Amino acid sequence: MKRAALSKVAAVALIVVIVVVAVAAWLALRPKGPAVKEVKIGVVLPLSGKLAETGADLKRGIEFAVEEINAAGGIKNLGGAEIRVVYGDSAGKPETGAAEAERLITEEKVVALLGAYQSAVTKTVSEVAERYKVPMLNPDSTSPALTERGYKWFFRTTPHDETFAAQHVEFLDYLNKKYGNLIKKVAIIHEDTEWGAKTAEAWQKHLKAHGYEVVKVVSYHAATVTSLDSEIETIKAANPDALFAASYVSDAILLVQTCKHKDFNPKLILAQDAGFINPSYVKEVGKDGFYIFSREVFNWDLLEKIPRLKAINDRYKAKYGVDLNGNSARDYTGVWVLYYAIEEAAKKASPENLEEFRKAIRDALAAIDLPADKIIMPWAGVKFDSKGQNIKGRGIIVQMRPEDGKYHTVYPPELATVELTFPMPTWAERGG
Amino acid sequence: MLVSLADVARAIVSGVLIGSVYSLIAMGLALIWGVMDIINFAQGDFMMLGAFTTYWLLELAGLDPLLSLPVSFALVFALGVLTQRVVIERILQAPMVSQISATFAVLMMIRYGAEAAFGPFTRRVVTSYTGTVLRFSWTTIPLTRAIAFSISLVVAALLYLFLTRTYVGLAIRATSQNRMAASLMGIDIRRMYMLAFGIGVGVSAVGGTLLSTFFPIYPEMGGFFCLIAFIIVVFGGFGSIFGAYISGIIIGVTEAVSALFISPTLKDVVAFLLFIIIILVKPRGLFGARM
Repeated sequence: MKRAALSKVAAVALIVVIVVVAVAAWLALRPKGPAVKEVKIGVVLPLSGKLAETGADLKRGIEFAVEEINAAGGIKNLGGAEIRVVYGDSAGKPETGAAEAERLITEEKVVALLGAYQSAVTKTVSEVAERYKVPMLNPDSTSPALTERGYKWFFRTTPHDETFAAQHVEFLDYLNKKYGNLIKKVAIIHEDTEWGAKTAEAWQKHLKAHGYEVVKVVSYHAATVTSLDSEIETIKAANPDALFAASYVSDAILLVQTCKHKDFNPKLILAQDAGFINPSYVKEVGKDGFYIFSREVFNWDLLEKIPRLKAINDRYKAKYGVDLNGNSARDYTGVWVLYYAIEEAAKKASPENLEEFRKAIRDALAAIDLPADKIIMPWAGVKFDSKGQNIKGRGIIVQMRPEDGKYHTVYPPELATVELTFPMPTWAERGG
Repeated sequence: MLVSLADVARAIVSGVLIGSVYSLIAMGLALIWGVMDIINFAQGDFMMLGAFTTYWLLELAGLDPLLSLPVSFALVFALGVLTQRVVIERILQAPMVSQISATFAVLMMIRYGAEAAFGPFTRRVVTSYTGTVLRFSWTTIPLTRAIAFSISLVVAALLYLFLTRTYVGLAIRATSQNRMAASLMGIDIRRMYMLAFGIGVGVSAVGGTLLSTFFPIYPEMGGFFCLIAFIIVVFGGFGSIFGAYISGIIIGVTEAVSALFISPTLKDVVAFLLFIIIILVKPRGLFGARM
């Protein structure tokens, strides 16, 4: 009886062992099929409201990048899982953006966030991401303050306004070196909202650091300005070699007109994009806008200079009927950067454990170092500093050319498509 | 910074030039206010319509702004009469809040109607003489602004003659002085109101046309011009249209000259400060008596 009982126990034990071994073997040896079919990323954009047109443009860039990634075999380290985008509509409002971000994180269970274009919305969305410990990639907001908050989960690929200001001053150095020290004194004119004021502040800081003399700083209120006569008179009296301008559309036109009729001839007028690159400005300012320089993040003629861009733009244009621009190209790039990080993260964690996977993406972003030929932007690459800012990002400088009335890339030299004209010809030299 | 006499002279010229356009918008506002006791918040937007009329006539028909000026006046005059018939007439006896809301509604319809129709884009009226500048030894004046100033003077003079030398003008003034008495004298009050509102917004449209020759135009441009016109009217004395003309120029000059001595950033602040001081000293405005 005792022996019989013992052998019964042994039999059960044997069965248990066999089952355990079999299950373990199956778990270990089963084919690495697509355990994870898709990885969801959340995108917050202004898809309705005043910026709906811009939002739709940004969305195209994102959609296109996701299609390309999935068509090329998806996330290879996850057995070809596809990326799926879940959109949240900020309607251009910070509070709506934050609510949408929360929904994407808690209900849609996205692994990472991307967006949100306007700096004010990016700010609130990233607050939510930080709270829920979800990595957020921002491809398109330029307020410097966004990466000064000490956030651990926030990464920005686009250069910001401070980077641009630094680059403006480097451009002056370049001109001085190449054309003989013509610029010493600089005047600044800017519209007086936060954007204009911060830009002017950054300019002053960098100009002084590079030994330039800031002879005059004048601000005006773009919404109520009816004349810039006194502003230009004051600046002209200070006799600067260069004028830096941060303006919106109608005030930019007014500024150029006033410079003309006051016969104010600085050797250089350099603008911080915004109004100066707006299609309305380009269309309306006409020949008076020739020779003026502006900062840009992207320009149509870069197609000639960045080989990768040409092929992608051709496919993009075939699909949507428009060229990539600074907005769609930046968001397109953002998705790719996030994709590279997800590939890295998949080596260390699985999306089944959402928290761990999000953390792995964050770590991968923090460590990423992409060379210039992996992206379509005119940058040196993508590598984030401890604040989450891409230190390899840079803008370009364009000049409106008299040949065709379009902006052409003139700086940095390796991306230039035409020889720049400097100093700008005086109004008298241009005639009429 | 040392300010020379030439600087001051330049600033005064520039101030007079922009001020003369402010004045046109303000005169229209003062006329409506004086005759009907209605504050027309949509004044700046009627101005915008004048500017866009000029733009489209130039774009589509190649009509020079100086030739489209009467068209601009006539169109906006007609729209003003219509507004008077459909909206203003019904609220003349209503409480002030209702009146303000009604003209504000007109503002919204015009401004955002224009934005829906033309898009929010900024445009320019460019003619063969747009870039022409009159050069003097001490200053430069764009031809377009010189023209705007001259026409503004002519319009003000015509309005003066109309109101003082014609029967209808006298009737309008009579209506403004005493509605009841005028009515008893056989004046058709309703017709006077339509005329006053039509002329009021029409003059503003002339301002818009002149402005468009040297200032970028966009559907929301009316906002600030209406605000400054409002200030000018109070400054000049409620309902005094010639007070409004002079005050417009004073405000323009104040802005320009204060920019020389203080900072261009504060030029609006100085204009508004002057306004507050005048109102404290002369509560009825500079040219206080009714016309």
